[in-house]
Amino acid sequence: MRRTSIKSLRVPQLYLGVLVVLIMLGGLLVEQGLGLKYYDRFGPGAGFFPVWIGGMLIVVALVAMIPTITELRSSQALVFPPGSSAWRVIVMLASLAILWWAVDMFGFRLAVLVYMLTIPILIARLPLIIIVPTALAASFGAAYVFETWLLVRLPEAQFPALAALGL
Amino acid sequence: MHELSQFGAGLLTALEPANLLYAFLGCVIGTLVGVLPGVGPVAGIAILLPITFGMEPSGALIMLAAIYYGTMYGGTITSVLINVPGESASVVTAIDGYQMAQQGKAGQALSIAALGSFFGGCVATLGIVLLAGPLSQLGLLFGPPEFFTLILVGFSLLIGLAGNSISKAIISAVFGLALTLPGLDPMVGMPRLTFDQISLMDGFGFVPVLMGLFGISEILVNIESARKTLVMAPISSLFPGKHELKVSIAPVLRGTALGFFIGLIPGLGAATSSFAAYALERRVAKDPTRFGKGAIEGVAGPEAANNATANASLLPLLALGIPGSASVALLMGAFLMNGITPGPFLFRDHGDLVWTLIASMIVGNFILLALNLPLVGLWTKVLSIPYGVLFALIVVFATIGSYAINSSMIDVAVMFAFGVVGYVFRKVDIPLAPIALTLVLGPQFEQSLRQSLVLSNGDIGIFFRGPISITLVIVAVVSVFLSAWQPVGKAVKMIKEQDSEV
Repeated sequence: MRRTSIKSLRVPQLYLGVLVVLIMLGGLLVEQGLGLKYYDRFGPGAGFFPVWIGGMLIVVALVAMIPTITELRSSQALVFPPGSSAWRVIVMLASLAILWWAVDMFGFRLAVLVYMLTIPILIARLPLIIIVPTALAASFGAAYVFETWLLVRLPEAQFPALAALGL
Repeated sequence: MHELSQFGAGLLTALEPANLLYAFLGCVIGTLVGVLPGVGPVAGIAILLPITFGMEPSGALIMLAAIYYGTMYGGTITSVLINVPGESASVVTAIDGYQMAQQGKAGQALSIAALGSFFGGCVATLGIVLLAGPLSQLGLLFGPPEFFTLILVGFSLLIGLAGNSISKAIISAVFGLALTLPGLDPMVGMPRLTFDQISLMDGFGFVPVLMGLFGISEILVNIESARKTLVMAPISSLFPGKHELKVSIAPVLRGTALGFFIGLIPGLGAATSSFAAYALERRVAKDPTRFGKGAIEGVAGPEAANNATANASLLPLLALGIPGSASVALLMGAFLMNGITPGPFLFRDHGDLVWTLIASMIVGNFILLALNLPLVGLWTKVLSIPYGVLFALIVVFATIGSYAINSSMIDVAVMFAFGVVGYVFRKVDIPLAPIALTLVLGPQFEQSLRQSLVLSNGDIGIFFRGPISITLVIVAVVSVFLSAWQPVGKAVKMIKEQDSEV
């Protein structure tokens, strides 16, 4: 079987994968819905809508699969056409996951400061003279504005030593 | 008339310093959101929604509404100057607006666009003043069957006109309905599809989901390629000539009328009206060959139409509780978050607030006219912000926005996860707008369906007995039929090449 690298991944292949996931989601909804009350003497129960929505999802996804399987051979449309970079997207996704973990562990200020110091360099190769003030403003500055003026509480560090510093 | 006196009272309240400030802030932010390619009104409102939590409901709604219709003004600036529409409703303005800019008439294009937008927005708001009362009276006749069939009409129209594939639009809409299932059952209040997770007891919050689907996914799409340097057309005089003004009057009037009526129909949106207005101007023009080469009518008509639609689409929300687009669906969420339920009883229970909001829309249009013309140079400076910084800042603000709802990092995780979902959907051309609408309307859709069946002891004939519900059923069936009919479908696809309401 021919190996498919991410750069050669075609749109119909990705769409087929999406449809399979949607069919599985529909199956889950139907299964869960049947475990609830579908109908009683008062009318539709909690399971009514999940069964119908799950069923519709399965049917529509199966119907959409037919032309997609045909397109697998004919369409050469790439998910990442020339000029676009899958790695930039992967870097961004990884950064979002790390940011989420870091905000939870180290608090908003520290996590966003590090994020704003690294991502613009990685993605756009910007000079420090632009990045450092922006990072400080986006982390400590934004935290001050949101917590003091807008009364929006932001995540604090889970480590007592950092939390004691106000981070 | 009673409505006019209430509007007058609302106008006095809207002119109070605090409300003026909120309207001004909303207009500034809305213009900024419109100017920035990659941040549409849905993402902009979703990201800024949590900021309004600590505000008075009236101020919050005034600001968010101003952001919404302000984006229509902002999107025009980049359409004309750099041929990059700031949001989908400004796509058609770029066709002739950019050509005018290339001919040294950028200032005239921008000024006519701003004047047309102003006229369309103000007239549509006055239309709301006149129709709100009668429409909300009609809404009082609505019971569960009528609400169910009305939402069905919205879904059927949206499915017919969203994106290029009906099957993908249906997938999107059903996926959105599926997202409303986890949580507490709306009728009996028991947990459903929570998988014993406390975080799912309230279901998926629509704000983190929409922020992810529209905001984060947009960043992922834009991050794929290195950003090119934008070359901007120079701006000379901002004052239109007498000839441009004279030629623009009829297109603005036609665009306003067309945009207003399109705005009343849930599911169509400002992008549809701008394309329809452009097509209309080409049809009635003495020399259609001028279009695409800098015809002022190709700017005036669509701009009046998209602003008229943006303002008019608030009427079904206020009077019936039915949002007409993804952006308005978010505004509906803002209402609900402030403990206010849009619909037929809104004018009775919160009349002061609603009339203040409507009056603030007139004030907002004046503010936007003043902001957009003299300060156009300032807005274009925003475009020189390096994209790497802009993306990172949007992520940071989106994180704050998601976290602020429930002070929970789970909402942030939901946002990022749906960012990936939205990105994948965009890659395979599944439209996102239906998800936004069904996500917000899904609970009401299910509740009204189940309530109707309880009332009728399971007899689905209840949807075909009342005059309003049978009419709406017929409208829904006809719209689905028209969408499926190839010649009409092809014409609609030609008009709507872009996704609606991002």
